[in-house]
Amino acid sequence: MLYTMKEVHETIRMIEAENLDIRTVTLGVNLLDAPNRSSREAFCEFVYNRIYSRAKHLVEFAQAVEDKYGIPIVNKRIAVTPIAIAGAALKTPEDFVAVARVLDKVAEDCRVDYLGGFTALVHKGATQADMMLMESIPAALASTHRICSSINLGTTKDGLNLDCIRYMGGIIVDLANRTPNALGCAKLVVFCNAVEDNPFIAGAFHGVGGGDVVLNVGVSGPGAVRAALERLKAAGNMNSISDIVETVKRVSFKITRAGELVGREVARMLGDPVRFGIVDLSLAPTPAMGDSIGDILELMGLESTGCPGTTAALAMLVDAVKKGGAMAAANVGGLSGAFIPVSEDQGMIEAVKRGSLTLEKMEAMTAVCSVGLDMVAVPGDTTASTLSGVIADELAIGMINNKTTAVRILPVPGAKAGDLIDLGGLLGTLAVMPVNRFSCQNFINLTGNIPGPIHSIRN
Amino acid sequence: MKRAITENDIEALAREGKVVIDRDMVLTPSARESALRKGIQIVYATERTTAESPASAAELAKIIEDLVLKEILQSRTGAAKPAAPAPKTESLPAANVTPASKVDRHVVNEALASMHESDSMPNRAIVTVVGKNRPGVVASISSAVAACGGDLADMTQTIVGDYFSLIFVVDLQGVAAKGISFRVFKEKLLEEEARLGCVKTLVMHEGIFSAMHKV
Repeated sequence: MLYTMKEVHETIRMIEAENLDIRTVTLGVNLLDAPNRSSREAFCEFVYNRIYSRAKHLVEFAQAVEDKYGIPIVNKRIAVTPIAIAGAALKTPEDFVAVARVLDKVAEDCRVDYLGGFTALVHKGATQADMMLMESIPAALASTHRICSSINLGTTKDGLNLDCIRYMGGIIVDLANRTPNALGCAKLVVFCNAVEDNPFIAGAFHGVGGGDVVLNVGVSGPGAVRAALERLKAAGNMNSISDIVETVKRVSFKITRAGELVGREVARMLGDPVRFGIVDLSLAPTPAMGDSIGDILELMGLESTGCPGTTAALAMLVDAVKKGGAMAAANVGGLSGAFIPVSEDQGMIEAVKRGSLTLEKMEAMTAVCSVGLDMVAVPGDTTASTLSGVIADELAIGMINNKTTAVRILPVPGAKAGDLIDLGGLLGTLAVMPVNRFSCQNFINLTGNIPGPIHSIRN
Repeated sequence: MKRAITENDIEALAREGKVVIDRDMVLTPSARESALRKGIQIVYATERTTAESPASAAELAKIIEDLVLKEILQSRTGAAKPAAPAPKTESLPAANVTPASKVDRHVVNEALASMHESDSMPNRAIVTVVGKNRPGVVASISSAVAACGGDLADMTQTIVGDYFSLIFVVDLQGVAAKGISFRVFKEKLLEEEARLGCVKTLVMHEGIFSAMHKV
């Protein structure tokens, strides 16, 4: 037999019972060659036509591939060149809102779930276009459905742009007040060391060094990892760290191979000039029961995620995922960490409810592996300067450790610590976390940039 | 969270032979197959009848003009933001958007057809049948395979009590030669499954197994 019955059943079980899916295929589209970038109308028209012509078959082809291999592709997405760069010649914040509306329209017409790239890269300083784009974010995200925005506020090389961190604190508060349950903030992420080929929303954008059209893939699979560890434990074989590491590596290898297969096939069907980019080796949870990073950590022997030992267990888990995945894929990229979007991970929500997982512990967890404070809800009376402080702390971790960190935070108007808010869909349930009540205002109000660390001077 | 639509839900959701899948729903593969089998059409809520045609020039101009400018004007008045240059309100010239392409249907069909000979990997399907054992199950599935031009490259079977599990490896060269697409091949086998009524059939391209289990 070419495949043993065990192999065939393993694949089917992973897909049917353990929520193994391809989380996203994301088509990156270059917008830099707009012929007339200073006229809003001409630019909008170019943006619409370029994206539509590149992405119109994406969803249809992705569905055909789902059918062929029997594995679901949960999201189909588009990422574009950062709009603050492509649209740098636009003249007013209103122009940027108009572009966002047109992007929303083209995303709808292409039937994709989200479009990322309403982005500005301001890690060293902001251009006028960058400032206008940031200013337009509340209006743009409140009036669109599928547009996601990201701002890169720092890099290891350049340090942190504290002026823009302060500004973004205010923008987040403004956006939260314009959308029910601060939902708009779920579409806005701020980064340190943002990557150019990230297929995951809300941070996806098409990097300027990324070529013309690229298809990137993100796989999922916490459910499959958890189930494999559960079987290991049930068989009485979970006795040492290497038992766990080996199991995770094996599962990760298989998941990644499936992702690469699907990505290459969709890219091939889209044809010239689309090329296949990378597989993002991230464990991306969903609110589905069992599809949770928190559950995996608890299976390893933690009483509740957030207790002492959590950071070490997570570090080990993510490293094993990367090692298994790196062997499986020719091109690995994107964020390749573990996502712990609190609202989207049932195990994490439970941990917050129990009081074992706090904002501070999450911050520590992001230092070893995961991508950042993701989908964290805080009380509505959190001030802009406190939000900026939380952002600055998180991005400092990324800056010093030479890794990507991000903050996607929702100050839910009217909510108090301990409240639960159901967002619906893949966004899950928010558990509002308490924030340290002491003020950082005087620090945040200092002007200028935090310089890059000494170890960034490497030439 | 997105609601998973399973095989069981499909029938309950069907109205006049159609199931509308909105953005909060995810179809499981077996649900999609079940719909295929029962002739239920799956419609995506975001799928507009004009999905093939880009926004008309006038439509695009209208979005920019009506929605954007008006809303900004309204939101601006209440916003405690530094004063920005007053938004222009003069009407915009109609944007010149590519007219509705007759959409390259042939491009799509070609790409879909070429799924057969995707890469260097052999073109084979893995057909898994599980269910209650009864005489003739293997015969009827395998004759459905043969009718499409498929060649059984390998098979394995186990029977546990009343139940059996059967795996066919089907060479699809003959299927492709007959001009039958993978999708149609799958539909034919699922029709057979429906006729038998006592088994569950999964048809997946070999690629996924090869990728996951062969290094």
